[in-house]
Amino acid sequence: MQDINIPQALSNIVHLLQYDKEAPLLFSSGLFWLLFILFIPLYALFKSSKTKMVIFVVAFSLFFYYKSSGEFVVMLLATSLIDWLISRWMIKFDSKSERLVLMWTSICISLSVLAYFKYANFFLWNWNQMVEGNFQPLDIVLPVGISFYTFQSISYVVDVYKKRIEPTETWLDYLFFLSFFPALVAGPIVRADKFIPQLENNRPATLENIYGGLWLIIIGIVKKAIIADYISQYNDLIFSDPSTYTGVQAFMGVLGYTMQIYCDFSGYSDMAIGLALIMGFDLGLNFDSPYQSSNLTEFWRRWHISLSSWLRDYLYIPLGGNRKGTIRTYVNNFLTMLIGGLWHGAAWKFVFWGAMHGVGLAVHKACLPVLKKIPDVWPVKFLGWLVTFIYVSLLWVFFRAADFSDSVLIIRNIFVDWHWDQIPQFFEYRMVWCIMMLTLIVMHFVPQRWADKLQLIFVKAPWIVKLLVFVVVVQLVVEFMTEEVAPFIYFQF
Amino acid sequence: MNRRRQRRYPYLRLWLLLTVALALFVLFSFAEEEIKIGEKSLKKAPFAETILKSDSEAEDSVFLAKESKDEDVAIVNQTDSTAQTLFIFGDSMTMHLAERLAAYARQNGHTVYAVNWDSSNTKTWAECDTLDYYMRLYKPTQVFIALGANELYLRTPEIRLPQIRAIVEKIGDVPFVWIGPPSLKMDGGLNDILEKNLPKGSFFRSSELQLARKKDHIHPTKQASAQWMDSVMKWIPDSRHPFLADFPADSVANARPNLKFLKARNK
Repeated sequence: MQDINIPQALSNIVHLLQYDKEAPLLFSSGLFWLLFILFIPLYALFKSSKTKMVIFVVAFSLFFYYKSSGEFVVMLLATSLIDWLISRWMIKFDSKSERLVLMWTSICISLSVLAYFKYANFFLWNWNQMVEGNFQPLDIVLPVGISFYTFQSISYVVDVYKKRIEPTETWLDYLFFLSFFPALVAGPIVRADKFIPQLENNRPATLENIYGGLWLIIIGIVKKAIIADYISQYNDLIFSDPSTYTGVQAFMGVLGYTMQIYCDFSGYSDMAIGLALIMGFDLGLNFDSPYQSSNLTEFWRRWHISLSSWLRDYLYIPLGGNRKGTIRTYVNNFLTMLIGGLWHGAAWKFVFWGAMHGVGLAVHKACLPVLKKIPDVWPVKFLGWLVTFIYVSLLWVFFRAADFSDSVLIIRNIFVDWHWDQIPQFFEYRMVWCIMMLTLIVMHFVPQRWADKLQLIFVKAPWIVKLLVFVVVVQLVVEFMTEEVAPFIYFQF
Repeated sequence: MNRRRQRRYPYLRLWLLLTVALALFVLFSFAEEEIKIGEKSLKKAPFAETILKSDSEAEDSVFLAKESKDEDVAIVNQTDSTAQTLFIFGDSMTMHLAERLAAYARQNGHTVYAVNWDSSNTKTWAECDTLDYYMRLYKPTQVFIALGANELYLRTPEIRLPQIRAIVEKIGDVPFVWIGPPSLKMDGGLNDILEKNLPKGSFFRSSELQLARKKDHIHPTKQASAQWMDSVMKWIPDSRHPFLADFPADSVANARPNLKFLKARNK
């Protein structure tokens, strides 16, 4: 056993608990694991009293946010206080116009903060391009999770305005909703009408909730910390220097990124949903095997459900939805996706990605009358799936690549620099990567009832089996976290 | 009864599970023993590393940093005018560098040996006895290392410190120059690690050079490699072991090194 220098170890632990922008508190980290072990008994102790539970969870959530975003925790507090005060004020008015003014005041404040932190440099850069100025980017640090909690705050205020929900009695309850740590930094986007009633009821978590939650965390760890983090290394090589890779390599990189982004995002969502479930809160489903979709509309019903349903309810429908004629429906669809693209990041590539999804959705809607006449047999379904998968995958290239020319180069390489003889070579040299991809594809296409059954088996399994599963998964994370995927030694050097 | 207790304290078993699992990983990370499954040793979670951070960091740099300080004193500006036995080894960048080095050797009366191992990296050279073999065979008085290009992608290049240390140990007391890899799009910081950890005057930073590349966009062209080696040799008077490195005349420009090619291990 190694000698332990106690003062040094304590100082390192204190340092770990401080804000470090390079080391946000991830659910898959050892530090979070340790903190969650400390969190559970206290949560169990306070759960029976709603007020105590709320105070405790809010304190933990604020620490969680401080660890990732430092002093921006004050901004989160300010946002929540403004929203809450406005929403309380709003219910005092019966007149729609006064309520409307208050709602827009809150939305404008939230969006201004988001616009400043996320989009100021983007707009300034574009402005300077137009006027040919000498652009110096502003020194702005983007607060972690701001896009998520801003959308939550907007939906809350709109729902109060529309009288879909009552505003919370206390600021603390609203702060609990806005800062709920499982969903704070990377979603899912929690909706007040679903979440606040659960808080009011404060039902204790059942054993099924607790172990179902643990199962989701395990699945999330497998997706995010084992598969996505490993396969991303190869994909990063392809996207960082596309000119050095052949068509086969680029194709694998695109396929890899398509699966990586799903694993990354849905894995983190699974962990968030699992943690919430352990605490007795149901955040709903955020990814529903999206690559099984046989058309783009279905894809957006299955991909990042909390965002797409938010965009539908708070943007597409208020814009007029499909109630104002065919052309307006297409335009509304297109605008919604365009803004959805911009939500993902402040760059033209995200705008393009969103716009092309908008175009795809509009085309699908326009073709629906014809598509409905085609018999729903498996070759047709397969063709629909293939077209959707290829379209979505190609658009991920624009989403991931550094710029438009890199995206075009990657796609071009796939079509003009293809060497069939490299395929067996690729499988031989990148065996682990291929096994990971295969595992992932199998996991993704497993029928939902099988997945549910597996979850049930885990929930009912003896404690020791659960421990064993958990330990094996964590050891796999340890095994793969230092595995490096070499870039070009097989084909180039 | 058991079920009833579980329902009364629903979090107890979950808490135990997470705690037992964490304890296992923490204990294993602090233990000096290995657990093997077949031939493979299980890796340890970095708990001990994180908790004992500064100690282990200091330990890592003891070898190179200490040597660097001690040997700073030993740096002399006087040029060694004796004929040298030069030995250059490394990855596929080595070949063209060696060709130009041969011209310098011919011009200045040195002998040059080169080993170009395609696809190799610090791990390859550290973990096998190839370098020991060639060090014994050629008995060089000055070594050049051209390694790192295949590891520029590493996101945590400090994990290669043990391998870097092993290579330097294999070279022993013979003066060496580590020619850093040229710039590529992916640079996870290996150049910085080399610069920080190698003794002063033993690392030549190549990443700031503008080098024309071959069609693969990675390897410098033959001409660019010659310019690269020229930059290294121009710097030799400032290195730990300055030796005669006059610019080669055109008449010796085509001198050939004694070059060995090793194929990539995985081909």
